[in-house]
Amino acid sequence: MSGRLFTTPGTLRRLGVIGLNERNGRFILPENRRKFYERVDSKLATKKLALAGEIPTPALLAILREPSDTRRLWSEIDSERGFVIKPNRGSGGKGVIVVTGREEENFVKGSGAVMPQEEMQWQVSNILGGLYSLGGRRDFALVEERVSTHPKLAALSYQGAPDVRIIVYRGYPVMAMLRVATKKSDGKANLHQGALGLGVDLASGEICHGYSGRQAVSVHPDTGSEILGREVPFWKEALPLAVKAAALTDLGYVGVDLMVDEEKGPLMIEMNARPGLTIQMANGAGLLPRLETVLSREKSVGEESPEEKINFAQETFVVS
Amino acid sequence: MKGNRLLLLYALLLTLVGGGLAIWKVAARGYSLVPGKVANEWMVEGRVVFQAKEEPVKVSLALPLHLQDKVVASEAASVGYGFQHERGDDWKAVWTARMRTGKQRIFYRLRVPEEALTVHRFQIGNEGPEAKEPTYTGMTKEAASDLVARVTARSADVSSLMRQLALALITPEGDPEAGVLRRYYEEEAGALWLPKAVKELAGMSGVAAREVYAVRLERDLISHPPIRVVEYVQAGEWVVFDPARPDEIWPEDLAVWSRSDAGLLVVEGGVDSSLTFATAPVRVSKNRNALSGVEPALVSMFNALPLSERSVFRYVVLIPLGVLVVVVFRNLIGLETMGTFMPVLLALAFLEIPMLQALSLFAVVLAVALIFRFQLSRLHLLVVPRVAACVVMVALLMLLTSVLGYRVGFSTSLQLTIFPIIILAWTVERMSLLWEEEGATSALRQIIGSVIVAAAAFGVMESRYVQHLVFTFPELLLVVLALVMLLGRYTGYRLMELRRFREVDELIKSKGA
Repeated sequence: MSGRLFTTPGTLRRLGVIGLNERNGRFILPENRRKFYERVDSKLATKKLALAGEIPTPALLAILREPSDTRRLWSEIDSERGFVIKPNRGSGGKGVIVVTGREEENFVKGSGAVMPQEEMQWQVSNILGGLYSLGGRRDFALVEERVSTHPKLAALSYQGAPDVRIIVYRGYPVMAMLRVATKKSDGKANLHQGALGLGVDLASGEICHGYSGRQAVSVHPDTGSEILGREVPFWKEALPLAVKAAALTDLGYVGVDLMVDEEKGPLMIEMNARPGLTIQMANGAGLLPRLETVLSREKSVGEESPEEKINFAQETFVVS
Repeated sequence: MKGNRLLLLYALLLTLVGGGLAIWKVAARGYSLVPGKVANEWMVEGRVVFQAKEEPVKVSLALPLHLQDKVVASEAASVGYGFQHERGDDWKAVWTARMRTGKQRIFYRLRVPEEALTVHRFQIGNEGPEAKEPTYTGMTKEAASDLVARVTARSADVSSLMRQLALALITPEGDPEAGVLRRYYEEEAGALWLPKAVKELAGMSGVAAREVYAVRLERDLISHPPIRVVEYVQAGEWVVFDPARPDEIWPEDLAVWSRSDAGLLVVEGGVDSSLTFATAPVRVSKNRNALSGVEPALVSMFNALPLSERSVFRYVVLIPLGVLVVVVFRNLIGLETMGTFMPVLLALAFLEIPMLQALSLFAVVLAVALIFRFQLSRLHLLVVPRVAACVVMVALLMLLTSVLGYRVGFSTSLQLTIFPIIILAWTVERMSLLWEEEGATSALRQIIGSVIVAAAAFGVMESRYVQHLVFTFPELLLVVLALVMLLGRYTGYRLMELRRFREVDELIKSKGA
């Protein structure tokens, strides 16, 4: 740890780290047209796109539009397998309730805590009242089947389920990271709260770098086990899935979030029109060189097929 | 990139027009770039408002007789009236019309040198001044004689006598006679009890005195009604004195307007009349033109407006500066704020309430509101009623603090108008929502960011130099627009990113190993 207070723009430039202004001005503004945001801002819209485009995604069990619909959670849904409630217009995992089972008359949450039905009703009405939606608009809640995380990934995470974020730029996957919860982050995959960001090599699916709380990590803070070198299961299917899903949105710069189910493989969970910058820290590499490489590639060979794009990315974007 | 070139073109155009106009005003018209230290002249504008009754109308406004020859410029503004000055024993502005209906507004503007305006000693005219004995009875008479005797014993000359009289009446605690007299006069004259009381008690002590109308000279462009002060005779002159501020020999911000016994304002053919004054200091420029109508409106936009209408524009013109500060802080420095406009609104609130007090009020209200919110969350209320409850509580808190503040003595500086209250309530609502949605750290970060940016914006907006520039050269706002547009293309790093990514070169090095 250097203990310095600031780095210099020169250093960041040299390492190719992209800042918010540049991300917004050079990439998001020109690539993402406002009218397509709805496709990723509303999870329901994303799901409909996914189903039409034959992209694997967790099954939609119910849509709750009124507080009274909460009853259906008890009566209609088989809680053995558990389910997940999400605000349709939420972002960043806010308002998400993971239920793993039942105990007497109550629900059991992912953390093990018991949740009476009354409290569930209140949480759902919070969602419906627009607490988690942008601008406080009224919203509705989606109930999805719970993804049973692949054991290899579950082993890395303290509660919660890890997810993979892949940034796709003009159809090229440019960078990927695995977000893993820790004790410190209280089971949430929020990097600002202590979760781990693990850079994933595009070609092999191996974890090549770890980052948490401003430091590089190579060992899991809770289990003590080695992280680097582990592979993300079903990686071969992950990139094509991400690229296909991104294409459905017509957004040129998009973050695709996947979770890996132990049987079904990668499932697309949601997509984001303004993916954050921390992926660079997780990978220990700047995004800018890769984005510019994509631009010059397009200039030289024109439009390629998705497979060609993936191949190119896997060959070129090697973390050295 | 084509987009870039178009932007540069617009920015250049805006800068040329805005800056060019400003430069021309300075070079050709002698407008000053720097606010003058002292205003040599003042513009005083009287505004008469009344309801006409569909009858012939005649409005007479008494004007300062002693300024008749000193006036630099004057103007009577009204639509549909005949106007003339009446001179002689009194100086009056008289408007007439055959028939008017509805609400009427008439303006009269004077431009006068400051020395002439703030004169407070006058020659004794034809009227031989006599001290008038007031007609009291019973207890009041006793109280008056006691008070007068006491005060005379305590004073060395006429002016100290007047001062002691005023002091005794203003703070009657522990002085039962003064209390009695105060109550007597409050019944007689209501809010205008003090000048009347001082005048009559002075008469009882053998000092000739009378009441006089005066205008408060302010720089804030807010209209005030005229105030009543007292004139007394000392050493062969009339001396004017403000009994509400007895410790000042003559407050520098008062101008005597009229001592006309016939009344300051007489309106025939109308009802519900009122008279207010607005004042503004005038920097004298090389080309001394009349008040308005000589400069093309574009060049001196403000001068074309009646004074009392200008105060709104004061804020409007400062807002772009505040917004520029917000853009700099968000895009160049990288501080997160709660919304783009919020810090500007906060800064505007600070312009009305002193910043330190506003911030402490803000912090207190916010803290209590959040505690309240935590309690509320146990009740499991629905979202909108929860937020509404917070807002109601903010209003109550504000009420409480303003009452408490008054008790403690804060009141003179803490004037809560509706505007800051609304802003505060709105901020608390957003803050509590933010707290719930994104958690404490994010909410605190945004609120602190907003306050820092608001303080910076306030610093810019309250600077006298900046205010002078922007009021005198509102076209400079075009340059501000150009700046903001150019900043929209800035794709460099934000200062906070240099901090956020400060470990980056170690991170990237560490991989190689």
